[in-house]
Amino acid sequence: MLKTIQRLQQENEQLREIIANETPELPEIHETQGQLRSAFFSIDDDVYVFDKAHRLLTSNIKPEKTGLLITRHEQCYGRLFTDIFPAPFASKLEIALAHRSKTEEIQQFEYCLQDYQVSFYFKISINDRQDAAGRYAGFTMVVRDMTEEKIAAKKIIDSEKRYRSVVENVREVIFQTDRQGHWSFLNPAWREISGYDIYDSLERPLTDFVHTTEKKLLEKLIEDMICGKRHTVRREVRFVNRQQQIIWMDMFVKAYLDDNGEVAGMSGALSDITQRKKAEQTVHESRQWLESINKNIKEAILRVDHQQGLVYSNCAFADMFGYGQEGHPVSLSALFAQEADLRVCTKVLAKQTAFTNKIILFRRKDGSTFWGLSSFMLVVDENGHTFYDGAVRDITDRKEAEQKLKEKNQELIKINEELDRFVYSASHDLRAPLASTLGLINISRFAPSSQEQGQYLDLMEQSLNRMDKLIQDLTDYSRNARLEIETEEIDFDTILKDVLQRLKYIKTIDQVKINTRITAEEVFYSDKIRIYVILINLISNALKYHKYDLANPQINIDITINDRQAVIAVADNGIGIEKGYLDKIFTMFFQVTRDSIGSGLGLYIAKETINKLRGTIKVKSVVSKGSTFTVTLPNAKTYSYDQD
Amino acid sequence: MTKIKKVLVIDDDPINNIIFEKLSDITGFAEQITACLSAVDGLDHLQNLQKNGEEAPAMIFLDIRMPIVNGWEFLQRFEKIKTPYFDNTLVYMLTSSSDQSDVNKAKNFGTVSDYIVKPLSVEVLEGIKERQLTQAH
Repeated sequence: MLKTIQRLQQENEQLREIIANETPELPEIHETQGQLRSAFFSIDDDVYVFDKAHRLLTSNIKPEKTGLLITRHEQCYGRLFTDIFPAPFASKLEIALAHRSKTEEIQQFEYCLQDYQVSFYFKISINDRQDAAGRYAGFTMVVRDMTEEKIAAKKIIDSEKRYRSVVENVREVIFQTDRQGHWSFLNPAWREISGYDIYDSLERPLTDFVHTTEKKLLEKLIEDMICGKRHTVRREVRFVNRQQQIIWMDMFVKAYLDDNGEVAGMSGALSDITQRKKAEQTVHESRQWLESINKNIKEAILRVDHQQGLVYSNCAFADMFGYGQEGHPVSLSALFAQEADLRVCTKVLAKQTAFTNKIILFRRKDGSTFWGLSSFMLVVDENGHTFYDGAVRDITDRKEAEQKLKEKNQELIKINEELDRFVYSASHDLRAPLASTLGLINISRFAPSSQEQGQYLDLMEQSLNRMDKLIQDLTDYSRNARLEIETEEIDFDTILKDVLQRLKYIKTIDQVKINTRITAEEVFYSDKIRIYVILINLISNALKYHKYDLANPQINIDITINDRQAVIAVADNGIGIEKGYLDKIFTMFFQVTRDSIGSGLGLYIAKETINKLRGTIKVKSVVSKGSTFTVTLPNAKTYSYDQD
Repeated sequence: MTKIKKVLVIDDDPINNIIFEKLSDITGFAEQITACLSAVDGLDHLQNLQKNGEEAPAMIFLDIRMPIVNGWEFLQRFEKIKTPYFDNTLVYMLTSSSDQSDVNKAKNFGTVSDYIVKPLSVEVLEGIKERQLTQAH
């Protein structure tokens, strides 16, 4: 027996050697087994191995843990699964096993373990084990702790819910588009803001809803985002709502990428800023308006602070008062030329808080003064700070115009008085010869002889001639005053001939020798009718006041012409004019002596006509020796009557 | 027919003096008419009469519009030199001006008795004479 054991031991030894020598794979198998074992104990999932009778063979549960077991795992080996798991789990496992036997698929189920208030989630997989012969040898159960995953998933769901609620309730439009920029998502705010139905809007291009002026630009921006040139766009965009009104939107868009890193579309938000924009626009407009007023009005506008002086002024102020645009700290007293004005103004403002259209003499920076029409107002801000707000209009021009008007008015009064005198004298002088004629008619009725009647007729003729002369003179006077100057080449010879022809009715004309001398360097241009009027009055005057008892009565007419002027001298050797009358002879209706043919207007008309032609007349006279009238007239060939 | 003794006519238009003299002839108005062609001449004449102790004229017929010294200025000067010697001398304005302002102006001169607008007629002259004679008696 012992020999047998020894032999068996020897054989075993031999076998071992054989095995050791002949099967070199064995150590590898051993190694593989070790590796599997190590892996088995290191995986996170709990693995339970059961035998054919569903008793726990082994598990990888770590010593300090129990897993799903109701007690420490060392005490569970060899026991039935129904005894080592909590009853609800055991029954679930039982169902799964029953299922498993029918379908031969890997069975999976989930299990939630409630431990006090905490839930633990597990995912269980069970699979059959087979022996080498392929017979059923029990099953393996893998339990994965899903608690963390479950909590994460729940969190995602919760956050998704929250997100959805946010997306659906926010006032901002939240959207998504596809690669083409067509809406793929819009939240209800879109409908609120735009008035468009969400489902009608979806799949339409975002740019369809944008105001035409911005469409192009926005299309370009979207294109850039799709090409990847840009990742975000933030700008204020005008959309058009269903009522065709403009809605300003603050738009934020971001490109989003697909799994391959390609741009899949855009997502973003639109917030309605129409109200803000409108307010901004109103502010902008009123600012522009103020700016425009500031620049364009001619009134100086200023705000003066009691302590700081000038705190605001416009462009017109700078121009009007001669201060730069910087707005120097000018006190109100520096602007007022008269201290009394300032005193009165501040008093009025303190009492009534405002005054309008007061004419005040202001002082510029350089010390010069000007008249300003001004309105001021006392303003107190919420801090109790006092300002003077004022507007000043420079009325120097108006003042000057007023002054001119006053002068013109004075002139008119003078002219009017002159005219009154003129009308009085003229009407009187027109009536005088008429009254004489009527008187003559009266007495001629009583004239016994035709000789006497003839005498009266001669006297009537004389009277009527005088009247005729006066009427002619009045016509000349009015023509000169009324008509514009018309210049032409003057032929003095012809004019003088006409004049003398006209004066033929003066009976004494034949007794006087009239010499004329014309020296012309140049052609003379002037107003022909006026030259005629001047000459006829001067010559008839010379004829009237002649001493016909004197030997050799004569009148010398001397005319000298150059390119600038004509000098006309009419000299007589007649009675002359007393010194005391020399300054009166050119006044209206002035007569030194009674003359039957004079109107008292001749020299006045001559002087007026010369004035009109911008010439001069001078007179030299010695009593009993004669007078010389010298007239100088500009040559219209070089002189322009338009200048003034 | 009683005539007014002395009359002075001051008018720068000799035609008016001719008319006056003729009408005086026709109506038997005055015995003696002196015509002066200027106010200055008229004043000289009056002063000469006084100086020579001659009778003062009963009437002066005075034109207004005359050269150098007009009718108004004559009246001013006349009032200055007026003495009791001229107490019975009446001044008549004889003018072609029918201007109311001239009529009023004449009224303001105490020396002016009446204002006659030319042309002078037989009727007017007779009226003046009649009034003068009835007042004198």
